[in-house]
Amino acid sequence: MRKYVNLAMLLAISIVLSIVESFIPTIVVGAKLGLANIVILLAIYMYGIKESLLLLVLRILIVSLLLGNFLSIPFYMSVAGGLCALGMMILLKFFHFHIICVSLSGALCHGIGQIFIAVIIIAPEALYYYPLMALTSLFTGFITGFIARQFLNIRKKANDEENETGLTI
Amino acid sequence: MKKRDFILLGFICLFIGLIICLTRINNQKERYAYVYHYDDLIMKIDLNVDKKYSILDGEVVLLVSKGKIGVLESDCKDHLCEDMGMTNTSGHPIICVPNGLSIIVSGESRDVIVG
Repeated sequence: MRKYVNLAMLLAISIVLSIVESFIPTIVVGAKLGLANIVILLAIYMYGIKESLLLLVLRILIVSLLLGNFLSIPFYMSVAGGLCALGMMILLKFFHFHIICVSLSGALCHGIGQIFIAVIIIAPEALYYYPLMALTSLFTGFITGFIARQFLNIRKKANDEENETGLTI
Repeated sequence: MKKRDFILLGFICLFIGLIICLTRINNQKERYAYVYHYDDLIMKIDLNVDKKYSILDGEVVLLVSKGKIGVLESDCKDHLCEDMGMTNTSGHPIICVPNGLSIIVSGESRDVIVG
């Protein structure tokens, strides 16, 4: 029960982050900070594959309904990007890589998924846009990985303290 | 951070470098400027070769340098086409209305539509 409440809260956080970051202008067109990715990363580390997949799918569906691009090109792009990123992150997490490495690779794969859909739906020339996205995803991937690492550290510390008093998060 | 994390980071950097190099090479291959006189395509100019082109019996002189194309001299009265500067993107064509001239940069195939 506690797990589902936590997952619902994580979902709410990721939806809000997605919507807020859609208002933040970026230098590279189409690139986003990927703040919602922090939550997916946390779900992988805190719960597991099934829960993070659930979180990702629900987040993409709800955000696309709220922003009004359901079943349009950006929607397909974010589905493909999200699934690629999730797959890569789970794989690297399975091999116990550092969380920042996991986040970086996830961000890169997010771009690959998006460009893949763009190449199929829009034009093959969209491929030339990938280097720019890869460079920005290095930066954003590092930031999201760093934030997730800080959060996990704080959570671990809080859990340790509360274990002494007999309570757990 | 363990040793293999740094190895992975190295691979990521290598991957990005490779992608950038590959797209650079491919991008340079297919940059052409198409020169139209009204509706007729009169010249296809390779933007990788720095050269001067004299067209319409010497009325207009085009200059290609560093992968960009621009109008160097024109006999029209406003010289707006000369003021449009150098271009290397399809989003910035150079038009000379008095001479009926348009210079459009394009790859071999269609352009990317963002939407």
